[in-house]
Amino acid sequence: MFTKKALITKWVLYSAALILFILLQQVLNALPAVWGVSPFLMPIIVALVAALEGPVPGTIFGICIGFFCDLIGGGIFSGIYTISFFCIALAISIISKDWVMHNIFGSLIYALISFFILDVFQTLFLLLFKGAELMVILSLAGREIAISILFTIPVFFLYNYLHRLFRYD
Amino acid sequence: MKDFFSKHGIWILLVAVIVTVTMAGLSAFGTGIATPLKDAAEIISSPFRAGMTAASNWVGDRIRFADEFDAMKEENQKLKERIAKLEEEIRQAQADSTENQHLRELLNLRPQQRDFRYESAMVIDHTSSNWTRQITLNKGSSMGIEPKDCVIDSEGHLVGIVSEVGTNWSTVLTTVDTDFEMGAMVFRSGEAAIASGDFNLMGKELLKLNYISSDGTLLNGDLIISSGLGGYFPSNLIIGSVQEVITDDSGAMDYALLKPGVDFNNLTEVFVITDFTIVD
Repeated sequence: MFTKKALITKWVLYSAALILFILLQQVLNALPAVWGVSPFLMPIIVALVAALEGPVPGTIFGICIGFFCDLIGGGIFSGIYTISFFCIALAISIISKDWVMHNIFGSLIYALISFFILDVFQTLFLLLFKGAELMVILSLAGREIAISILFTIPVFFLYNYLHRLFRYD
Repeated sequence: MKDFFSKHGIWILLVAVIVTVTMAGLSAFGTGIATPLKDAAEIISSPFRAGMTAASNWVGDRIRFADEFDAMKEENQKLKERIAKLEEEIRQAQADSTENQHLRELLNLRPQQRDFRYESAMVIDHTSSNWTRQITLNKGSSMGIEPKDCVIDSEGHLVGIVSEVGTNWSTVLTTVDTDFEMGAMVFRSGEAAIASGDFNLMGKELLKLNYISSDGTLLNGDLIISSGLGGYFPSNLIIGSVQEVITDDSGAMDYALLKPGVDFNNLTEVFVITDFTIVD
């Protein structure tokens, strides 16, 4: 059985890992962009934590990260990360419940799904309100996914390691 | 799973929707002053972001130095020649200015005046997303910066407009961001137009010049400046130069592509125009 202390320690370590990846992303953002884009790690983290932790903790974690990203800014409209990370966490936790794949291959699929959900929101907004061309949006989304997906591996290893440390079964 | 939805799902969804709608509402109807929560988040995160950006810039500079040394030597020689030419033009301009002053006195016109109050600021973050083009500065309302203040680089090119201000930080919409829009003027002909960011051009670091007069002439390389109409933004700030004129099916001028004079990726220091007085 999980003790309250173990539960708190686990989420403190999850948050510490999150800060580590935020700092990594900050460094990568400041370096010259590859194909004109910088990696975006937050959807991957939300997806993998939701897959590991299940619906309730995963969705709350997703909303918190989304809210933080919206506060820091950079979204095409305010609130986009809160709603899309909520949807990502919910969708991934539902999928992973019946289709458990806690390995690299599964993580890559979860990461792809997370970007798909986020990009659906971004695409709809840009098409409806900004008159953007679909091909331009798809090109940017494709490049962002291609660069970001590489970071699924370190994110998976770190969060999976932390998850296994506190697994009680 | 059914238990989850019946017990918590609707509440979590409700919280997410409320947060999203509130944030979207604040963004749409906000005054540009950051909410206390956002201000606190930025105050806490900005030192880390500044530190990371400084470290990454240092590494980037070291990497670029070796590659760019030869190119810089060549550029230095060209710049020396250009300085000599510009000094000659300055001498002519000084003579013209004196003559202009005499003529204004003869016509009893008020003397021309362009007074700007600047606040220098460092760029601590270039962008937090691939989908927008914003920069974050290390100064905010405590240094007199307000929303809608214009931001320029050391060469006087317009970088963008302050979109949100916190205590010790501010966010700037660059000229290529999709939300950027400003009254513009063709420097050569004085024609008015509107310069605005466009998502389709953002990746190429270009912006659009719309509402150009159909009987006007616009040439590649034409300098585009802020019009200052309405007195909201200062006039004569360099927005960019015309890269290409796009025509519609009938051959009439539709819009133009502008190339900003600013290299957004290598921008480290900018100047915020916190106050200005212009008499033309």
